Amino acid sequence: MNKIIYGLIALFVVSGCQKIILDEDQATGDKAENFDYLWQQCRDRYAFFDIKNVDWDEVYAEYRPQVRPDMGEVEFFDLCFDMLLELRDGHVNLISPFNVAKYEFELTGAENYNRRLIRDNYLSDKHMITGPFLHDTLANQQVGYVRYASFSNNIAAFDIDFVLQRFKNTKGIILDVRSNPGGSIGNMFTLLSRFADEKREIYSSQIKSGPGPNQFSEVQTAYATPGGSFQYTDGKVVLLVNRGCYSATSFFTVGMRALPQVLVMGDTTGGGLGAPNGGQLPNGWLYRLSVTRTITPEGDNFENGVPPDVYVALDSVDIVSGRDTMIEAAVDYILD
Amino acid sequence: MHQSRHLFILRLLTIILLSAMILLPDLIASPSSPDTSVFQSEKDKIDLLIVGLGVSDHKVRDEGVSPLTYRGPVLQIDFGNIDWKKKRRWQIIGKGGVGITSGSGTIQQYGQYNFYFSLHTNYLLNTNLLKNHSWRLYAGPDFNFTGNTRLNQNLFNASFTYDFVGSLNAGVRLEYDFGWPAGRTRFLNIKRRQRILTAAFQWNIPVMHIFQRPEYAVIDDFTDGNSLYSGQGDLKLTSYGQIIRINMELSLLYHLQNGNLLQFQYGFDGIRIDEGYNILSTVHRRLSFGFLFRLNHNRHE
Repeated sequence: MNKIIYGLIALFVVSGCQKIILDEDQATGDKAENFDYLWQQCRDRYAFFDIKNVDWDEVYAEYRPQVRPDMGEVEFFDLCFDMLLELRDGHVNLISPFNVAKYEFELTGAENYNRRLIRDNYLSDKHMITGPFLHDTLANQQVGYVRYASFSNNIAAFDIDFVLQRFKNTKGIILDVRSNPGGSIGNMFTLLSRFADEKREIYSSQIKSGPGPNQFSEVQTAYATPGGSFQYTDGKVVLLVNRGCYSATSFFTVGMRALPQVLVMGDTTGGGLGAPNGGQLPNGWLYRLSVTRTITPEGDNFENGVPPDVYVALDSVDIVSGRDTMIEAAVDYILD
Repeated sequence: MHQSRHLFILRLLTIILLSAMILLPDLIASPSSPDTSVFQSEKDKIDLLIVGLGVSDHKVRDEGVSPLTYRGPVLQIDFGNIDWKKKRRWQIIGKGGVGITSGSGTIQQYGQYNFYFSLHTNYLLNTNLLKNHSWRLYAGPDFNFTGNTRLNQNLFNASFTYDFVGSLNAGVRLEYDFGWPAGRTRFLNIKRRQRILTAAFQWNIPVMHIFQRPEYAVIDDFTDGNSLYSGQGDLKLTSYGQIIRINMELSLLYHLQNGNLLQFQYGFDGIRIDEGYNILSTVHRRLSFGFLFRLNHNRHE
């Protein structure tokens, strides 16, 4: 009998152990709890309150009273995202089964990119597509034109070798990354390495290391380092950018600015120099927040956009006459 | 729905097994006698190769990425060696498992892949505190290294998270032999072979831990160009405070006539890491069945 009693005690101990390790489930559909959780996650993890000039407590005071228990899911989603929109950050998202909300950074400036204009007036019928690159020669084969539409498209060594070898005898290359929304940072370093003449510091990054507003990790420095079998360092390189350049493309722009043969031309990029991580709310929705910050060697934080060396915008009169103002300016610069 | 049914079945099996382990000795055992003891002398040795299959009801909550508890079955295999004598017991067992858990969110559930591995070794000495020949109480050093990795692709750059915990424990193991001696049944007077079973309970009390998990902001696509995973966290050493770990096993061993053994086991391994932020809780409640192949044919090897 004693053994049975001891056994039942052991059973009770074993079954009760879980409560010591794992307390009550936090899943809830309660609107107020979900709103507070999202606001708090932003307060503790978001990296750019200073540069965005946002007082997060004031944001809470504005939006929290609008939360009602009887709100519909769509209405509540919209309210939460209206709060997040105050950050004006394309890396801040809210995702539910019925909606994906994002800040449209590309709408904060002119589009400055017209694919049809380029196809009709600059690309020959013999233009080539090698991996993620669309490329052709311009100005009687004196200038190479390379279009890279997304850093999500992986760059194989063969692809970039082929393109750069094709243009090795040109006076320069136009690298067109307009409206490239970003993607993998690995592709960014791969492409950058083909234009780097030597190891150069391009920026430093820090990641949030605690909930305090100034709790960041130690600085990690990033470098542009020559890589691959061939680097294009003799001719001029013009990087065309616009407001639609975001995230990895802005990182790439910062990196290319540090190289001596590169001129960045166009409009200020969309920014997005904070890498985002992901998380989940108690109701199961997902969110993203920027949790790192990036500083150039000169001390600039270009989270709101990387400025070009030379501002050029598409001219509506040029468009009507079949001219891409930015490509024309880039060709003139290379041939000058 | 399917998962709930599986978890219900798993829970039911666990209750049945635990009840059997606790009640069986009293219900079927003969009064303790040397005939139903595993070890007839101090020199007796059982060297075993263990191959096991199990399934655990796995729960995890990593507040670094989600406040939700993810739960689901993890299939597991065991492989190891046990060197067992009356005066001491040594084991080294590796476990590996994989499973899919899903969040407890009522609105939307996202699947999460869970990969689990552990290496558990100990060297326990008989304390000789129990004078009854059917009971043995072992104690000694125990080391248990566990890795849990998780992949939830819906969490973007925070999709990969993990915890690696190595615990140095004081292991305490209580064993009780019971069964039937050889003889004849009362009903029909049929000849009956000797049957021996061993019930065991082991509790590993942590003394010190070494652990690693992601830092505050979990991210795997950082911006320095040198590493695609950053914020991975340093290796940390702690005793009490930052980690609570509860690790215990209830086993029922059936000794076959050919010297091999069958093992039913319920294991509980719970880890809670609290560094002041992003509390991580993982619980494995494991039910397993193992074949223990006897490697030594000579009882006194």
